[in-house]
Amino acid sequence: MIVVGISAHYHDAACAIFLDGRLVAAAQEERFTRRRYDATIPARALRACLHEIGAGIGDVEHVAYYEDPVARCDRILSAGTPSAMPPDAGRPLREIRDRLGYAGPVTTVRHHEAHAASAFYCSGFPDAAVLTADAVGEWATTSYGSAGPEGISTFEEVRFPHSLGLLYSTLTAYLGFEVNSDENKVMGLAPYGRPTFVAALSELIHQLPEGQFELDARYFDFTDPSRMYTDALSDVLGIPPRPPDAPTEGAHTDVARSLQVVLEDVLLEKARHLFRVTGNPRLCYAGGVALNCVANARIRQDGPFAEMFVQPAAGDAGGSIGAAALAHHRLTGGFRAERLVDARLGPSYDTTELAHALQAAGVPFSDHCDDQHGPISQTADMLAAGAVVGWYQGRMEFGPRALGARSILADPRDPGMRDRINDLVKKREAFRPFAPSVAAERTAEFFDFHGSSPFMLDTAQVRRPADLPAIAHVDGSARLQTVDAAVDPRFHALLTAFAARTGFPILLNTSFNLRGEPIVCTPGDALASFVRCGLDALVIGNLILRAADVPPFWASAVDQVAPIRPRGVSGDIYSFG
Amino acid sequence: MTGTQAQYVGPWLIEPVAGGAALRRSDEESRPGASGPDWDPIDSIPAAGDARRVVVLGESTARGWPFESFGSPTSVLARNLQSAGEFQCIDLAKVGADGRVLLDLAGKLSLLHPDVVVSFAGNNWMMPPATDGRRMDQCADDGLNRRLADALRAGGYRGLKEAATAHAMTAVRAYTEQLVRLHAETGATVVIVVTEYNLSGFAPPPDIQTPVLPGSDLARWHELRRQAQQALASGNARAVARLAAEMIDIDGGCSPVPGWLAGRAAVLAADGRAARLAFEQSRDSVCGLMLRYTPRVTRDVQQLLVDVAAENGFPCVDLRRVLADPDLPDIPDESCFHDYCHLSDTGIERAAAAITDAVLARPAGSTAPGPGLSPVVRAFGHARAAAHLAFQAQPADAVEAHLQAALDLEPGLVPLLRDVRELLSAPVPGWTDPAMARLSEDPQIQPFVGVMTGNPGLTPELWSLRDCLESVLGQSETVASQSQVDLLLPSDPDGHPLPNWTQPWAHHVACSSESVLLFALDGPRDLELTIEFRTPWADPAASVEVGCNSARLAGPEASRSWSTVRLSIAAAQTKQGVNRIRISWPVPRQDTEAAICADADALETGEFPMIVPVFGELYDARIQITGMPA
Repeated sequence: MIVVGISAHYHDAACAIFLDGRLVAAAQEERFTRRRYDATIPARALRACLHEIGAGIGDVEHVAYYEDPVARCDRILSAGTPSAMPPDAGRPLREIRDRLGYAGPVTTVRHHEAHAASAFYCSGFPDAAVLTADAVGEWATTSYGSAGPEGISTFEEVRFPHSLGLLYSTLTAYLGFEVNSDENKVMGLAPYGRPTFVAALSELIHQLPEGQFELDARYFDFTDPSRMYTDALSDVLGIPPRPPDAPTEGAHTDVARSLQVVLEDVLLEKARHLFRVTGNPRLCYAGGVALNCVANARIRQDGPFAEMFVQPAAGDAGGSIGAAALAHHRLTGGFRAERLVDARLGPSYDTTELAHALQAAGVPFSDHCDDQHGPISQTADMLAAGAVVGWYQGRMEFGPRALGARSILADPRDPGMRDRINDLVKKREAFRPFAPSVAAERTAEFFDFHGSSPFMLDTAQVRRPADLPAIAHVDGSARLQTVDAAVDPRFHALLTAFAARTGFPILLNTSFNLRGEPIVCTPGDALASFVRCGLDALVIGNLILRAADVPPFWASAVDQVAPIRPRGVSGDIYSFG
Repeated sequence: MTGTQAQYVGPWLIEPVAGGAALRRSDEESRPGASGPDWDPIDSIPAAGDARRVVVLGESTARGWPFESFGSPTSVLARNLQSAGEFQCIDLAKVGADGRVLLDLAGKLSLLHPDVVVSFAGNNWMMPPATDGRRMDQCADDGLNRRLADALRAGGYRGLKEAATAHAMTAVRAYTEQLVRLHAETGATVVIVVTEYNLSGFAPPPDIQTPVLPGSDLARWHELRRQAQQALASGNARAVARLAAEMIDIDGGCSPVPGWLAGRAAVLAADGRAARLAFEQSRDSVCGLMLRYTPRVTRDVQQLLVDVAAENGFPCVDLRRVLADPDLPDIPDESCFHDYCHLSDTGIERAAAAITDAVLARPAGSTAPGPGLSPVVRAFGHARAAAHLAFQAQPADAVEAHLQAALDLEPGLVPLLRDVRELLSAPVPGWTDPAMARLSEDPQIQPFVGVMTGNPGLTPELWSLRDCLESVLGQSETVASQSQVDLLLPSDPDGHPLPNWTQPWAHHVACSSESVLLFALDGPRDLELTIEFRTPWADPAASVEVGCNSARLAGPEASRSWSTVRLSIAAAQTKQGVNRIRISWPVPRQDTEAAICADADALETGEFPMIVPVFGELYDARIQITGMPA
């Protein structure tokens, strides 16, 4: 039985496919339309995913949409939040029929149910307590519940406008960053600051009994189409909003740090509440706020739960997983308690045509089609020599993190590497840290971490930060990915080969994209991004191409024919739907 | 300008100086429509002094596209006027100028102190707003979407068409009123040029046939069309005219097909008057229907311009007469056109000569048209026309004729055309191909290379251009680089465009009776074709005909749910170069009321309507290469 889950119409639209209860494919629409955070119905993503599993649209037996569109329209109309288009409760079903070409039964799953299900059904737990926290879906912003053989049950919700996600997004905008995308920059900025604004920010959010909290309406305006805060926020903080692209100063880093503290404190308190009510030692956690890996680490370390699971696309994209999984459970009465360990759920592409293109262009490249170890050995040599390498292998990852399928890799020991990649390659802010990927079995040698973190959604202290300056954040932490040889043997082999040369089974791993564009999807995207980024080499399947061999005209050609497309959603205010 | 508001006209800042108004190109790029290559690139224009100032206002045809830099109508007019006294000609035409731009320009003309204004506009009034991926309620006048929804509900697709064209005509009237006001206030002579369309030389696109039609009407319409095509092939003009009239009765005058067939038949019968009426009906039938049609002047616009000229005593240059075919004067001479409405150098010379006479108040025909452009430039124009016609889905023989004409005039174009062929044949990503570097160095070609290489798939039109280039130049070194070919690779970053204004779709939606999917082979090969299709509105007893090149492959049953078929294609049925999979869909029996209701709802909510029927859909179409070269 094929059940498809769909998330769309906020930001980061995506689809997920369950085949006989197992998650077999998932992808975000942005990767195909090349519009970052594209919210349109994921028609191209679904086509690619169905092809990847050898199925057609006619094989799909059920579609689950990740939200109740009537409830969402009710909230938009009642709350008066800005909308990119007029509220239209019929749109999801109409587009599923027309744009996806699907004519069979469709069910809707409530937004936070979908988030909760996305975590639970990928966790492998037989049952669990479930926490979701995001900006808003229908009316809910935070939910508490439990999951098990009977499905998902929610016992408490926090309702709009009281929202941890909106709190974080509002401060993200105040600090001069783009909403719906740059919340992680605020998280990255936080360790540079001091928590001197905790008292001020505590004015913004009031802890209430049980699972409740409320935002103080004096500081927020979610009806304004141009900004999310009021002038009172400047008064309470005592600093003006930071204009985009202005330098980040001490006060900004202090606000970021304080915001992180406030968020973590609220989450920790609410996690304890959830544990008290459910008594379940296992936590499944999802929603956009669950992409804050620093807070995740705090919940893991200081929270009451013995085990915790966060799936790789914890934001709205992942709602497609939850919708499909929950629908499957409801339709069949059963589910597979299998842990998701591999986020490479997107399509793969043949690289033969790219090789022909390189040949036609007369560009030298090495093709190791008969030698699986050749590319790994050569790539490890290049990395150890200081090269920055585009690494494109197999199926694309699902979720916001590159995990070794569409990655830019570099030597984490080089103290200048972070600045080089930030300045020249990714053209992003200097303060932003890079994450490490580490061979799983050797994680504890280098990090104060003993679990597994396959999706880069946890942080840990680096044992000797001075040895790994390119991936150790200013506070000595790192947002790490553990790579298991059984899950991704090729990437693991590369880490091992790098260790053989350097002693460190660790690589700096950042997403293969330029600022403002989605992570690359096809070999053509990868080549375009390689040319734009100024990487030293591109390893794409078994092909290796070096920057020195790239014809000079490619740089202008790629900008001419494939310019970076504008993002799919607003960067000023949250996409309320 | 201190203390006063700076005045702009188009991209130019107006500077009052001794002797009149001078113009200086403004650096203020932020003003909408002010920047870009669509205007005359001249930096400054001095005050006219003692010379008479002639201002030419219009769209791309007036600008001389694509011959702007070689001999625009304004530059030819200036040349013609040189011997008649002191004239200063200002080219205020803009490629892509819509009603908003023209109204704005007309309202500011007095600032230029013109002695003569030449209004050379009329082709873009019925064009869609620049949608740029936006919704209808974001790019149309306030509330227009709701008014059109009402008209659609009340009068069906004909009602929609009439309401939309009536709305457009109000803008034309407002424009002409500005010209009348200018004349009254300044005494400037206003010359009205009535633009013309390449009536017999530009075929309607094959993917626009009819709007959704009720019940069995569409089936009847298609049967009549088949009969009319047969009658045309046998030269029976009267039968074609009768059948076409019956088709128009059914489609309400909302299809370009019957008029086109009747027009061609009338040409064969040397009945110029009937040909004009039929071709005009074909040309005007799609206006207002929110379909992707080319710029065109309509009969109503032409008549309004003639009436305004007559009522106000303005000299009128009616290109319907100026560009008339010497053998069949009721229809225009195809050699005067570059494509649908843009003029060739021959057309520009004839138009400019007639305008010269009007400006100088001489009898028509006093000024002889010049010889036109050099053979090299004319050859390049033919090459560009070929590309443009292919891009507009014109028949291959028309495209090839232009390519051949280009090479006959200038054999030196062979390397350039070979590069275009190689770029269209290059493995993906095409921008890596060395031909890309060479073509990008040519400023005339550079703007088009993105279209040719920016996407994984080629449009059917670019496939057609490639095929035509191979016919004229020989085969490119096609590489069958993949064992499997996705025939539905999108040619647009957002998917497959439909012939309406809706956003592209991820899968293929056939809005006409045939879908053609193209692929290239390095030689005859054994293949397996897999298609996943459905015919949501077809009679279940009908069948879908699938063929490869000229061979029939199979006729699977129509299916309202998705159905997958796998078909073997023998090497003998394939060829080196471009191959075609043809899928002929059964005629749908779509619920018209439901379609109108859905389209009206779409308009109401600010989205674009479908308008056209859905014959069939392809979710997947792939070729597996199973055999080695034969």
